[in-house]
Amino acid sequence: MDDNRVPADPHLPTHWFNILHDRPQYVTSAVSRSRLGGEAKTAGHGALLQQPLSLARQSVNTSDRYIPIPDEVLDLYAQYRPTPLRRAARLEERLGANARIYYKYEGANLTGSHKLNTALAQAYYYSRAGVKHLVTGTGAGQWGTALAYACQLMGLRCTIFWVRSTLRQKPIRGEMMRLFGAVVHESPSNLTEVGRKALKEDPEGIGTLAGATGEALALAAEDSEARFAVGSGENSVLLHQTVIGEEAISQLAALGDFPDCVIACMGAGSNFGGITLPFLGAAKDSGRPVRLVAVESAACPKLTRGRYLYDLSDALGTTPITKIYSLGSTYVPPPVYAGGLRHHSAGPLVSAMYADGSVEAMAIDQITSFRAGMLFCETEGVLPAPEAAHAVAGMMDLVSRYPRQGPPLVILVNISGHGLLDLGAYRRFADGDMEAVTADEDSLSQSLSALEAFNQRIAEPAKAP
Amino acid sequence: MEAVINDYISRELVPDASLLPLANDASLLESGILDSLSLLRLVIFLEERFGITMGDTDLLPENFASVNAICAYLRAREPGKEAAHG
Repeated sequence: MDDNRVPADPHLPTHWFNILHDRPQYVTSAVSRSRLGGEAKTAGHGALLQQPLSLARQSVNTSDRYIPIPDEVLDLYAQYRPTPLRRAARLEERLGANARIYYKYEGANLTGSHKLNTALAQAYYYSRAGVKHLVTGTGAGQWGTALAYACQLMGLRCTIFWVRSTLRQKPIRGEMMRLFGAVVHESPSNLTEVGRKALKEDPEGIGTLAGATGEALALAAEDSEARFAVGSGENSVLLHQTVIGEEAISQLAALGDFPDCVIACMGAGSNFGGITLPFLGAAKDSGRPVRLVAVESAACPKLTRGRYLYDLSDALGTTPITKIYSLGSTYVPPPVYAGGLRHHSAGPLVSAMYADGSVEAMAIDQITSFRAGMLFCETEGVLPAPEAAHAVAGMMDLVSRYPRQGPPLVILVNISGHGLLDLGAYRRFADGDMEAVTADEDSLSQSLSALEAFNQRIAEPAKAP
Repeated sequence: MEAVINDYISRELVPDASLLPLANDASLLESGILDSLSLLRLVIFLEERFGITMGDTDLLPENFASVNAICAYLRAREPGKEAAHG
């Protein structure tokens, strides 16, 4: 160790936890793009893989239960990790709960959310592979902010397509991205064919994460020095996030505790997987069962109302066709303040966990989530991001239904980010100027029908080119 | 070598039977047999089977265009050579 390095905190993991070792059946199930007919699309600019091989391997590794965190990444983690794990004692008292409520707080780093855990890792791997420019799509903006910062640290250029509805809700977050040197575009944009098509269909369209992702993929394909970086869903992304759960296990053990239930919000699965996956390993090792609960937005209920079918993750149609819980890649979720929960599908790993019963799910509307977020702020002095407020609301729902007699429920909730850039939304909630917002039935029905038709199409043998 | 690789691709990666039997000079890219996920599986198979380590600089379309191209690439590698980016 260099003399100027601060000794690592004993709770800071040196390895990521790889669930694919314990459960190789979770390796992503995909069908060939040849099922769509015609030539398979590649990442553009002559590369066969979008990701560096070192990163791509992490998504299919079933050999190693623990994967070493590179020293360069570990040093950067040590600037803000381990993140706090606290007991929400005042909230317990306010709720009159027969529970010990713990929360893990991921909002205290410069970029304000858990997204930095994978942004640093990805920027590291891409820079080592010689990539000069990372392009991405972002929903709530947390991922875009984290990637912008990570790119600045690694000397990479960064371009971000940000979903229009969220960009307009909280433009100040865009200033953070620009502060870190990123170029930020509203999506849909006129810069790509995907964006132009979306604008032609609806000039006032609010945008989707699938659309922003498609635009980012298109732009990355035009630049030989660029690659697309993804903020959630991919197995490797969830792997990088496992530092959250690993720390929590260590921190709870220091308190002599272990949760009956771990709960987190669910966009595509990165903060959810990050906190829950290591607990699957710990439960296996200890023989103590643990409930894992995903809380999604009622505006985008991919687990509770979606179909477990093959689907695309982007509007451009270049992402792998994987088996996922999806509302269909054409589904446009109504605008909600939790932009990070508006992805139409869960990632393959969380989808497989939900399909085999390892995960439970519930959908919460934004009124309920903001009410929970306000109470959490009052009692704990932490303002959750709108996404994380869904997890708080789900936790409060479970606690309220738990018997008041007998052993207390031990529950751990992940506060994936702070809500300090969402004060306008909290103000609207406090003023009664907010609607619950649930999925539009007609839009949902149409999209699910299209998804089923897509699956019928790819189930048939491809026609000869 | 050709038979081993052809057998693996035919068994594990070809998406439907209409593409079989697989000729050693048949295109693996234009036919859609290799996409990002199947390529990754093939890389891991080749590394384990032939005791090599591949890096990003090895993942060129010309190295994976066909079974014959893969074999030519493998024969061109120096024994035990480590790639630049693992």
